[in-house]
Amino acid sequence: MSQPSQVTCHECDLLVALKPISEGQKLTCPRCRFVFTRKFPLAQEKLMAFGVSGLFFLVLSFAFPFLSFITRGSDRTIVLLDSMRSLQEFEFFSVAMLLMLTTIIIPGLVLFAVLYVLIAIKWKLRLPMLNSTAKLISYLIPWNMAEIFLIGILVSLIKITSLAQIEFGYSFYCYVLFVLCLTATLVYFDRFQLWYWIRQVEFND
Amino acid sequence: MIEHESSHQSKAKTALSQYQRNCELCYFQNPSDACICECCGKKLSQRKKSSLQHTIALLITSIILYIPANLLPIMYTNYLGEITESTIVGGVVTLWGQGSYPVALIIFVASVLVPIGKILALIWLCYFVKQTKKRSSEKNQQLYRVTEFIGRWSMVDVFVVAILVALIQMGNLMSVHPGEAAIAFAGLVITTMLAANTFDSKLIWQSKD
Ligand SMILES: [Zn+2]
Ligand SMILES: [Zn+2]
Repeated sequence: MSQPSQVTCHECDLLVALKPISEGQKLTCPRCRFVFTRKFPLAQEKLMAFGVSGLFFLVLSFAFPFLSFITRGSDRTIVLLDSMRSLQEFEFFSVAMLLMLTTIIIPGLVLFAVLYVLIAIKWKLRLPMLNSTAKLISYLIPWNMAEIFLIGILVSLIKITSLAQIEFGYSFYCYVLFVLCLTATLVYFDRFQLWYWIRQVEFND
Repeated sequence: MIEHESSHQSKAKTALSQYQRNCELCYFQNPSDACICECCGKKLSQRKKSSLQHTIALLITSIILYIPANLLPIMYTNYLGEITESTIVGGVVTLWGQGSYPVALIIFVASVLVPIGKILALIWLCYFVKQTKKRSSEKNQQLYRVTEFIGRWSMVDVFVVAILVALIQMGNLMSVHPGEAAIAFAGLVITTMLAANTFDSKLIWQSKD
């Protein structure tokens, strides 16, 4: 089995002949401008570094207080999971589930799957479920909303600044770092390259 | 549809006309008789079958959800025993009144403009791909890309409610309860995202002059 010599544009169905590109260049569809691939220098290393740090910060963001709300006489501190827990207490189970999936489970799984596939590529290991894991990444990415959650937090804090004093906990900063690492991972993630590398592992040795 | 396609074979080399079986997901070149991608195992279909019907069905669902999402309260605020309801638009108005113009604008764009714009854009695209003569496919492709990209950002308001409900729980002094519109609105965002996902952008380019 070999690498493709031409590709079908995912967006407009045009058949495009592949030409080798060097680092820093990108390959686009001549008709609809869809970007097939972008070659970054040291893409594998960057993906791994951001993936590992992202997962690390995600785990850490469970460990500390997330936000504190202080008014005259009383205060309340929440952890990351409290945003889902309190929705569940009001029997908004579907919204709680959605929040959990789109801001923690799916982005975490994306990072995990990227790392799993990259480990297989880097050390030429034929890990089980390698192809399914790689496929999963593409299906999960559109449902990641971690950065939107962050914007939501900032908006809600602006909404209540007049009512009380807000303090950010360590978990909040960890979550911000997690979102930054995740975003960087998604920038360097290139489906075309990833499958090229996978085929190198699967067929070429 | 396929006959129509082949008459344009000489003008645009499309995957259908070439009997090429490139996988959409992993770009692997499969033999012409393959039904499943030999590399990643994805089903190789000529077109997303009946994709347009799915898109239209999801669009109708999202239009129906749009009504409760805007009419019902998205949260209840209890302040010293006095309970006030607020809808999405009401929240924007309150923020504007408080002078938080940038935030009011963000919420207005994300929660009001984006869902409407998305539904209208997808209705337009469904209408456009039914036309026999297609001009300005590039512009419509751009429209589709923007629609696909902005969809997730409408979720901001639901997340705001989640944070406020978690943070402000001080009994009768001050507390926030989620409203039914949060469910309808989350459903609205999901259905519009699914509608954009099921829409096959290749239809925009089919039988292009
Ligand atoms: Zn294209
Ligand atoms: Zn494939």
